[in-house]
Amino acid sequence: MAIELQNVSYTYMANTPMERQALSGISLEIQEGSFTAIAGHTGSGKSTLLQHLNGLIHPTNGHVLVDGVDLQPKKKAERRRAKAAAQQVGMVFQYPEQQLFEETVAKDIAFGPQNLGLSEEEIEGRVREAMELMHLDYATFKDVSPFALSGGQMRRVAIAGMLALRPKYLVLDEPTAGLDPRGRRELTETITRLHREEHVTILFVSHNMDDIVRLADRVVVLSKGRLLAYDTPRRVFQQDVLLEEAGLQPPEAFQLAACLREAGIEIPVDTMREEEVVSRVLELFRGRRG
Amino acid sequence: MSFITVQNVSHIYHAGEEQEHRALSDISLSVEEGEFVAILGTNGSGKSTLARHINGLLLPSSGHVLVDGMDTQETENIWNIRREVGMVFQNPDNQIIAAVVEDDVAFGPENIGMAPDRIRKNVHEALETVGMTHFRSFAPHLLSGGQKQRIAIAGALAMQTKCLVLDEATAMLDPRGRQEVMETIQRLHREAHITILLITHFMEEAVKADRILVLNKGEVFASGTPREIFSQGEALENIGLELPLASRVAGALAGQGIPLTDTILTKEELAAALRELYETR
Repeated sequence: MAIELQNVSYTYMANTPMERQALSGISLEIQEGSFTAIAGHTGSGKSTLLQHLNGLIHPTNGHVLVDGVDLQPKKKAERRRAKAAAQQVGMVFQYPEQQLFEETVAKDIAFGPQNLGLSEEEIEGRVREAMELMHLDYATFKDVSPFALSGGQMRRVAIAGMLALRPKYLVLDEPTAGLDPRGRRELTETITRLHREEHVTILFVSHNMDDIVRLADRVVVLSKGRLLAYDTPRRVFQQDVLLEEAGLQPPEAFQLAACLREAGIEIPVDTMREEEVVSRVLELFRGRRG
Repeated sequence: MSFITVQNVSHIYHAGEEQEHRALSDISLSVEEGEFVAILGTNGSGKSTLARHINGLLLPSSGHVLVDGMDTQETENIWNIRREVGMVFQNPDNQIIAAVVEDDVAFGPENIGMAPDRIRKNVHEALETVGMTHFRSFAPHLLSGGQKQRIAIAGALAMQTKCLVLDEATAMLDPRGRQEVMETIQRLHREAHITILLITHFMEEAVKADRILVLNKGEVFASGTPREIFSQGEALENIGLELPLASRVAGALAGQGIPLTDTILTKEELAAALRELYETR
């Protein structure tokens, strides 16, 4: 099972003087169970790509398939199936806490399941489950106003609202933007656990290359609407020319390692995680390396 | 006399209501003219509330804020204060109003009835200063986030602002945009001697300031040079902050017996310190 993009192109305001091609001929397959990052400079097509994944917009050319089902069916009879497939993809936009609106945390999270027409019991079960998955204690938070929470907690509530719909694929657009360091760390830990223990397939857009190296097993690099790379972060971030073209910088830890090498501390060129910098410098100082 | 003086300021949102919330608790601090101060603190520590007091967007529930000697609570001062203190907010899309870059930068000066010749001169100089002259006749929506924030800064400069308050102005930008904005404000500080208050969650940005002010739960938790502040790693972590990457790595190495004794803030400092140890090993 997978999300497949087959030669997807998208043109905004086609056949007008404002016409702009946001995506050109993108083909890629995001396997169920993977943890994929999407990186690219502002205007590279990241947001346009995301909106294709659950059928918010359809390609001008090409196809998007979720678990083998085309999200833009040709026949009317296939629409129901396409809708069900699109619902497998849960989308969490940037600053999702701005979309919170209910009086209590539990009511806000219940909004999605209620729209599915589920029973009260089922809804409560899902709210409870989603809150636990997002590390929000049910008894403590269920009756609290979402607006009385910290920024990090509000974002958890917003993501829980999506998880209550039990999507198989969870798409997050810059999930940690604007959070303080603790909020960032806690949220990335929670997302990692969702992937590892609940087997939710994760796709996330990030400007933080250190997060991408730490979390993702594959990274999609977009530039000017084209797919520049789809590979492991470790391989992608060692390619200066590619990064330059994409307008990206390697992870901070990678830059730190490069700076150390320039000073004669000869740690390997693929050092790009904070813990690796520490362990490799230690190895060098203790003379364990040949 | 300091350029900004905050005297025993408390701010209470929804006073007397159920959601009453004390965002600032008897805060006193001062910022000198030409100083570059970074303000750190977790979400909800009172950073943005404090920033909004500096140009009178918010008024203290008790206490006083003085800008260039003018009290923000005196209504007749407010427009002069806002001319001297420009604000740049987090979302670049929420602060641009005109359809052309030049018009956007001219909006403030036009509003206060500046003479057309002077507006033209100020707008030209402001765009030059932020490196956006080339884009003067562009539509703002065609610009990147970093470019939009530089336009917002230019708007303040065209008013001949003495002080810029940036409230997480880089939070929504990609790395290139962040770098553009940081370079711009460092240049304004260095060359135009503009007083800078930079609110940020990025420790690497705070390292570039003359002084760091740490807020926690509406109070001043610490104030000092980046070196003084980041030598208190544990205390910062306890209130939900972190050290810059180079400091964290140095700390981890020191913990494993590498004798790094001085506080390290940047990758260059770490490289130099390790090199010395490595050569004399």
